[in-house]
Amino acid sequence: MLAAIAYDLGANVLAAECFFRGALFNRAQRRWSFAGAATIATAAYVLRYVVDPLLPKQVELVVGAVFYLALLGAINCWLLWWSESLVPGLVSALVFFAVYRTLGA
Amino acid sequence: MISLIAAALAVVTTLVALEGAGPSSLLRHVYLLPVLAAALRFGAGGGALAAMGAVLLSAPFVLPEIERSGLTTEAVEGLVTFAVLGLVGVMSGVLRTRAGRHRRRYEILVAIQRTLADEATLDVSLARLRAALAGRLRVDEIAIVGRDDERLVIAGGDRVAEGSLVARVLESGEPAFVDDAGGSVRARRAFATPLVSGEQTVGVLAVERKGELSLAERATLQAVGAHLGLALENARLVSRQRRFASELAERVSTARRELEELDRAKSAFVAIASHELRTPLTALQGFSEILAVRRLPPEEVTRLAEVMRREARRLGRIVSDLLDLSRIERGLEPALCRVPLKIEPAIEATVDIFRQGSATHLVTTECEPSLPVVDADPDALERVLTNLISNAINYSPTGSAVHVGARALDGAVAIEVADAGRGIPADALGRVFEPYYRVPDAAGVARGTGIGLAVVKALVEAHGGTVRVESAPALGTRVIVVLPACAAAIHGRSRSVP
Repeated sequence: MLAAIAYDLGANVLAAECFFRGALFNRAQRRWSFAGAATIATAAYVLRYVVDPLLPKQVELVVGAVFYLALLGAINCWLLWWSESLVPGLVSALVFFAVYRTLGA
Repeated sequence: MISLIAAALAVVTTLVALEGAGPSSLLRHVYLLPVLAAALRFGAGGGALAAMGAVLLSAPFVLPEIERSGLTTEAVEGLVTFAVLGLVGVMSGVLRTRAGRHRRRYEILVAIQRTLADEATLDVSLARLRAALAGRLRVDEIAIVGRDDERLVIAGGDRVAEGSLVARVLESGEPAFVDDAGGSVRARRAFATPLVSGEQTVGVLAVERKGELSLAERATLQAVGAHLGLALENARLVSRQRRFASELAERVSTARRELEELDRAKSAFVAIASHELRTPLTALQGFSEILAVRRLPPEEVTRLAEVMRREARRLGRIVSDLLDLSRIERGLEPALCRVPLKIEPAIEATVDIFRQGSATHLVTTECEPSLPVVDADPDALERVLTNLISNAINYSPTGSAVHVGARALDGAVAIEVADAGRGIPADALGRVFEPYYRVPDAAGVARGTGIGLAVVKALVEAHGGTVRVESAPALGTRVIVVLPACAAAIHGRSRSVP
């Protein structure tokens, strides 16, 4: 579990937040509205995890993942927009994945 | 409010759990209350979040049922409840947001009307509007630009930079939106909309905000811009109308004062003219009776005849002046019989009459040699000179000199009559050529009808010439009459120039 959390901290969360919020959402919200930009960034974020081979392909797990990841993505978009910093989003995603890993264990 | 909604959701969840009826519990409908409250308080976002919270809290009652027994009627009821909660939360929130937006728009319109209700200059009106709108539009920066003829009045800035958003909107008359006007993470949005009155762009309303500036808000800003344009135009028209009415009242008042003054002047004129006519008539009547009833020595007869001739000439001059004044007042020019006339003999002849008639002043003449011939009516010129010289004599102290001169100008002859008298006050100089006007304290100094200079001006202008007065109080007055020379004389003179 510690290895998984370390992976989330060092690679998964950091890369995802930097790309989906720091680059994609940030770029999109300069051109479109917050809602449009958040939808695009969140959809891409959810898609990245749904197509992840590590995600079990059971329907209820996929639906649950879509729901919670969409929620996380939207919240992180708002956090970045509100605070103008990636740190709150990083913390929120880290907490989310830590809880996920803990529950999985 | 947030904690109240959260508490309500928690209470409902607890009650559903305690009831133990699962997804078909009737208490699940109570979730609608906090969801609706959140939607009405916070709009679409709040409604959606509250609905999501309700769904998450009731999910443990619905999802296990689906896992256990599949999509049973109860499970479907639970799923339908999710959908209803979501719809109610979002729809109510959207409606609430729209209603709020409409209310804000009406508040803005009322604020605009109230701000422009007072009469003020465009600069002041725009500054007040900017202050009134800044808080209501919830933007970071606001600027209002208004056209005042060729001038641009700006509230919230110093100038309109060339090529800027405002300049573009002013030129095109179309709204413009800049989705990224700088800023760190949250982009600054800028929007400018024209203030329209009829087909004209009378100004621009420009706003800037860090973050969202939605389509609906831009539509509101456009509506505000259109209303602002009309309101500004109305305020401008009302201001102009009031100014016009005020000017009209002022003019009517001035005209009435002038008419009253004219009426008084005419009354005074009638009295003075009667007196002026009566004086020579009395002299003529008296001396003619003496001549008729008495036998007098020839020298005395000659003296009386000379007095009668002088008085008859004076009477004739007054009558001529009155006739000319009558023509002037009817908008006609004095009748002239113009012939080529040498100025110097005409001046000398007129001055001689005064030299013979008055020993109180020294009348001197100085004319340039070879003055050009003028195209003038001899009688009119004599009356002009007589009026000017008699004025100079009447309004200068006994023993002082009156100087009459003439000099050639380019294509004209200037005649000057100067005295060393009391002069004319500066504020009266502009009015001395008005009919019936007399310098306020002149009545006590000399007799006069107040029409002499008016007639002089009319006669000179009828000749195509000009007349002007230069005067310094206590130093004297100089009247300069410029008459155009005959065309032939001009050519003759110009030919003689090497």
